[in-house]
Amino acid sequence: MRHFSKTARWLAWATAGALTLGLAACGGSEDSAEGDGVVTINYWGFSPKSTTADKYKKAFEDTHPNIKVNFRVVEITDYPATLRPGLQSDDGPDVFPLAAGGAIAGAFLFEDAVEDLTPLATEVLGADFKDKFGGGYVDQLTVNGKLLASPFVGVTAQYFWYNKDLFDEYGLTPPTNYDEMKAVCDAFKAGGVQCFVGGFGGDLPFGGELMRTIANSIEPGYWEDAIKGKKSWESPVITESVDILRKMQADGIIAEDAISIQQYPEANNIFQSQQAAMIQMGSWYAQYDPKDVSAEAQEAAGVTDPQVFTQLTMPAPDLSGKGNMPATLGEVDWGVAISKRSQHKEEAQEFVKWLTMTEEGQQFGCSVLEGVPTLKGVEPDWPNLNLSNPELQEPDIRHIIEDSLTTTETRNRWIGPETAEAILQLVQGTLTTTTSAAELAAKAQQMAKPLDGAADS
Amino acid sequence: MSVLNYQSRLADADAGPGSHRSHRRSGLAPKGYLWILPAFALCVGVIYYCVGYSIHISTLSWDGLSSHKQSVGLENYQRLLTDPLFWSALWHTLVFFIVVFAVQTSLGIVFAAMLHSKVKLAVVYKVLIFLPVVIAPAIMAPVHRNVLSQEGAVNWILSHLGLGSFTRSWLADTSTSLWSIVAVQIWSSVGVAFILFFAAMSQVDLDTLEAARIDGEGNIRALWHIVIPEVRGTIVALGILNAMAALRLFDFPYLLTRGGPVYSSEFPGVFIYREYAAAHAGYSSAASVMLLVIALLASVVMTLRARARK
Repeated sequence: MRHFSKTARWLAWATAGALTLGLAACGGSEDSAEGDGVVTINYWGFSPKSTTADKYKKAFEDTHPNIKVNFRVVEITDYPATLRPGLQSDDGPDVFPLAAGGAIAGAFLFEDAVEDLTPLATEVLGADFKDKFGGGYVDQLTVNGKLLASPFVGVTAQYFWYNKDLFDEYGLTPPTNYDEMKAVCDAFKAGGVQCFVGGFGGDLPFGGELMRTIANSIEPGYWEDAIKGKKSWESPVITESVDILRKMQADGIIAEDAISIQQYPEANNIFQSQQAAMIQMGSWYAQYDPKDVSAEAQEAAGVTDPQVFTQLTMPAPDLSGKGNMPATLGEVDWGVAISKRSQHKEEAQEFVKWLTMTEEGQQFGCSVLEGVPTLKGVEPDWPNLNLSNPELQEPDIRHIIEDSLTTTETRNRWIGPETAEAILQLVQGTLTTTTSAAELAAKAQQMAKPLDGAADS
Repeated sequence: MSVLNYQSRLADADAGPGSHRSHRRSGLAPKGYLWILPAFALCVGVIYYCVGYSIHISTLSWDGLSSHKQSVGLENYQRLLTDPLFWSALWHTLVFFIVVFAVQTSLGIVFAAMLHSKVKLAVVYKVLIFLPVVIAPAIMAPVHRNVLSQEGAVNWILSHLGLGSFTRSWLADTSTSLWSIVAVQIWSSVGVAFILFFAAMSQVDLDTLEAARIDGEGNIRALWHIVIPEVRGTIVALGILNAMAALRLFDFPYLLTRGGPVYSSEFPGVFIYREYAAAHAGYSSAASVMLLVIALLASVVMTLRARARK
């Protein structure tokens, strides 16, 4: 039998102890229950943005002194890669946002990792809780009979937002078709102002949104049917959309290098700093209507002396000239989910309940104008919105909320990772190559993969 | 004294008189293993566990989150080998490696040689050359995007040089996006090559250089025939470092182009990240394992070639 020296034995024990401690430190979670009975829950999300998150935190903690919320804002394009390992760890989020669909935060991608919120919704809102929410929002976040996230804000999209002050300065009115769009762009260009800014680089779907606007002006609803696999991407509707998008680039309506910038932050900065007159965004963009948020956004865009200006929505123009004004798209923008691994489910439920199932939380959410309220009967706190131009912007926001109740076409609900990538490549191929429209459409057809159940919806 | 010899002698001293011969025969004493236990446990427990786990995941059809994991054997690898996007990413890696290595080495040698001569403000030049190395890619990416945009500094310079026909959006053009990333990488890493060559040139025998001068060799010939052979080891080391950097490249392609447009600047790192984010954890892991194998092969080949030359 070999005998080890004292030094060696000490070293072995020290090593074992250090490793045990180290592994324990790696595996265990930080105890988030403080001595005074206050529990901290972790929220990871691509929304709200950090300045708004502070307001949420204060509003919730003021009414729930025993729960603290630790917000961690994650860049939207990094969200899936951040969230997946987080949900497998004890140090991950307790609560987090999920969207109706899309490759980034589609609820169906996280089905196994979240609690079914049906019992909570039933307890708080009653068995008919579905009817308490508008717009089919509950169904959009329900997968295999489980409510994966409770609807927080809805989205209405396909609007063009325009800078009314710039339009007034140049004596222009919002365009309604391609020719008017071209004329408006020429007028702005002559004055050194960019007409329409789009950030089609990166993984966000804004290039696809514009192409969808074009396709919907050719044949309303075709794009959604292609997403669902009901119709082919290899179609004259898609090839014509490719041609029109290329024409817009050649005519200077969209910048030649739209692919090299991203919608956030670059395109947003260009619009907010009043260097461009139009941008395509959804209902969430009303968050820049208030004076203080607009000033913050301008400062973030490098403007040293922010000026109040009026941004408003206009319907997307009929870019194909076929007489079809593209309708708005709508669905639940995001809801709040609870991780199955949460160590503080009770407190997490309290947070979800307050934010999504009470008038107070819902009104708070829609008053920071991140989207339209999902709970029926809730409206923004109109007198305290501090809008840059209440006379025009309040009716505009009311109009957006009305649109959210009448839209029939979903935005991302049926888009999975493969289809999102197919659309991204379709747009990039359109704007950066000379590949024929037919080949691009064929490639999209090859890459896209409809989600289960999409064709039956 | 080498570490092993030192451990062996320590072990002998602990075991007492009479044990010296047997322990010398057995090489590493039993107690020596205890000394390497911390590092060994860390390596096996953390690094190799992760590699093993990745290999396991690569045999699954799994979204990286759900409890439903289906074993598919080598199917992910078969799919990977026929995926043109993966091969395209590897091709870009090879091009990237060759060009970055060649330019970085050339510039590194030239800068180091110049700054070994009596140059005024040499410290300032050294700082300027090395500064990009310490700036994080995430900080520089927005600047690069701006510089390389349609309205950026590169096009401004070209226009003012009468080369307006060459202007373009460098990152948004499928024919220039890859080269833009190569250029940015050279800009950010040439300082490393410079520092390595500067240090290596300090070891060059001055008498040999002096003799060459007496024989009438000019600067370029002296650099080519005397200095470069003397720093060959550094070139090999830089080659291995560059090969590894190319294989695990992620930051600049992801931050500048996300591998686009139309995958024209796709690299394996971006490919793996995208597949993982798209809930294809098994396929993504298969690509990671494949990359690991390629990296190991590349480093073995380069090391063997370097030894053979010696």
